[in-house]
Amino acid sequence: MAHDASTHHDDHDHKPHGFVNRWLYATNHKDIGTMYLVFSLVMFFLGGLMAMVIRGELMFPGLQLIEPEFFNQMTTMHALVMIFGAVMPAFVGLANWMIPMMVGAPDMALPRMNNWSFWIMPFAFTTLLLPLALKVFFDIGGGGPAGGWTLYPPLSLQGGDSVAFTIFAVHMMGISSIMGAINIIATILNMRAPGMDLLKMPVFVWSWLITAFLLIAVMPVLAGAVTMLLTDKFFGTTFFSATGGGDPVMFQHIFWFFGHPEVYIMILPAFGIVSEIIPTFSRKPLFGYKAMVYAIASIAFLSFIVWAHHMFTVGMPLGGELFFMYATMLIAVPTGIKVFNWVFTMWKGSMTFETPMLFALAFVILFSIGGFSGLMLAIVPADFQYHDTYFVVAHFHYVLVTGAIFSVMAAVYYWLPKWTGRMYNERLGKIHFWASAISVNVLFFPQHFLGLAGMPRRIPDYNVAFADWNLVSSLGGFAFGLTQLLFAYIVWDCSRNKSLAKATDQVWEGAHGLEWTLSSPPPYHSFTTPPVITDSMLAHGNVAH
Amino acid sequence: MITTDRSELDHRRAAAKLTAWILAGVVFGIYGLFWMSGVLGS
Repeated sequence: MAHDASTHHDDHDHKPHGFVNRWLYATNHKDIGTMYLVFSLVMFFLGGLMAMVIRGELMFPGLQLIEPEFFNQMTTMHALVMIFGAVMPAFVGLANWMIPMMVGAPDMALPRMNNWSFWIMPFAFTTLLLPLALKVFFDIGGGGPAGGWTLYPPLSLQGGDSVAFTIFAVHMMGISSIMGAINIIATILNMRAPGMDLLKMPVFVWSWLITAFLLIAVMPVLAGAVTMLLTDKFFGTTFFSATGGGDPVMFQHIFWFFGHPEVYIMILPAFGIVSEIIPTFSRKPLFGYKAMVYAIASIAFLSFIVWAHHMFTVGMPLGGELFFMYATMLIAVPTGIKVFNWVFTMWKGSMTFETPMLFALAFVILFSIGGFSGLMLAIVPADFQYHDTYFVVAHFHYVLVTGAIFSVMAAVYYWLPKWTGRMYNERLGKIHFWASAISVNVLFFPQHFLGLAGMPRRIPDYNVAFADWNLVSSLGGFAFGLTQLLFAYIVWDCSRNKSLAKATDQVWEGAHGLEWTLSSPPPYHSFTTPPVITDSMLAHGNVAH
Repeated sequence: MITTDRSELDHRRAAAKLTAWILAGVVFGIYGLFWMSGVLGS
C-alpha cells in the first residue's frame, strides 16, 4: 500500500488547537462532517436501544416488560430518533465530508452556518428526549410523546407537556436541516472548481443537490404543520379540531406533503452512494450516468404528488385514490432505471467484493424488496387490507434499514480509509456485513407474514396466533442490534489503531474522482485554490466536452 | 495541478452568499404560505 502524500500537507498547520476551538467553534467541513457522523452513530444506538425494548416486549404475547403507554413512547421516540437523529445526520455528515472534496472546493460555502447547523442538533435532541429521560430516570412528568412520529391530532395533542418539547425540537431540527440544505446547494452551485460542470459531478453530489432542494421545499411545511399543532394545543386555535371548524384530516395532508418527500430525503443520497461504490468495485464507469441523474430528479418530482397514498383509508374521492395510486406506481419507473443501471454497471465488470461493495449489493437487492412491497401498498384496494399492519412496518424497514442504513455503512467502509489514512479490518468488516445481512432479514422478513395475517402495528400485545413469527423477529432484532457494536468497534479501531495498513491516495483500485487525488487522510483544508481538472480526475465525462 | 488564483474563489464565495439568501427567502415564503393556508382554511 504505497502512500503518496505529496500535496497540501503544509495546511495541517492551520488546524485549530484545543477541544473548544477545534470542535465547538468548528468551521472545517471535515470536522463538522465527523461530528455529524458521531452524533448519528450515538443516535443510532439510542434509537436501537428503543427498538430492543419494543422487540423485547413483542417477543411473546401478553405484557411482560413495560406498560402500554411506555410502549407507545418507545415506538414514537424510536422513529423520531432514527429518522431525524440517525439517518438524516448521517447523510449530512457524509455530504459535509465528501462534497467539497468531490467538487474541488476548499470547504462548504458557508462554514459558520455549517457550525450552527450541527450544533443545533444536540440541543434539539436534548429537548426531544428530556421528557422521556425525566420519566425514566427520575419518575418526573408523563414521559415522552406517544402519539406516533406522524404526530396526528387529536391523539398527539393529548400528550401533556411533552407536546411542547417535541414541537420545539422538531422546529430546531427543521432549522438545522434547512441551513444544511442551503449550504449544500450554495456549495454545489457556486464552489465547484473550473471544469467540474454540473453533468460531470459525481452522482453522490447530484443526489445531494436534489435532496437539498427537497429539504428546502418541505421542511417549512412541517414547521407550519407543527406550529399549528402548537397553537391548537396551547393557544386555543382549532386548525385541526372539528369542534371549532377545523379538520384533523388537513393535518394528515399537510404532514404527508412533507412526509413523503422526507422518505426520499432519506433514500436519494443512498442512491448516490451506491452509484459511487458499484462502479469502483466493478472497475467500470457507471452505466447510464445521465439517466441516473434524471431518474433521481424524476423521483424527487414524483415525491410531491403521491402523499395521499399514506392515507387511502381516511376516505377520499375515488378520483383522488386513483390519481395517488397511479402516481405512486410511476415511481417504480425511474427507480427501475436505477436498479437496471447498477446491474449493467456490474455486467462484465472485474468485480471484487470488499465490504463496501457487499453492503452496496445488499442494498440493491434488499431495497428492491422494500420497493416491491411499496408497490403492493400503492394498490388502493390492497392497501385497505395492509394499512396499519406489520406489512407496512416490514416495508419501510426494508427501505430504511437495508436501504438507507446499509448505504451509510457502505459509505463509511468506502470512505473511512480516505478519512483516516488507514485500511479498516476487512475481515471484521465482512463478518459485520454477513451478520447484519442475515439478522436483518430474520428481523424484518417475518413481519411481512405477520402483517398479511392481520397483526396491527403500534401495539404492545397481540393474538397468540402471531407468537411464532414475533419470536423469530425479536431474535433477529437482538442479533442485528448486537452486530452493530462490531461496526462501532471497526470504525473506532480504524480511526485509532496505528498498526493498521496505510491507505493509498486512491484507496480502491477502481476509484475515480477528485476526492481520490487528495492524500489519505486528506489535508485539513482540501483545495485552498481551485484545482486544474484533467480528464483522469473525473469519474464522469471529460474536460473537453 | 494547483492554481494560485484566490480572487476567483472570493467571487465564488460572494455568489454562494447570494444563493443562500435567495434560498432562505424561498424557505420563509413556503412557511408563510402554509401558515396562511392554515389560517384562511380554518
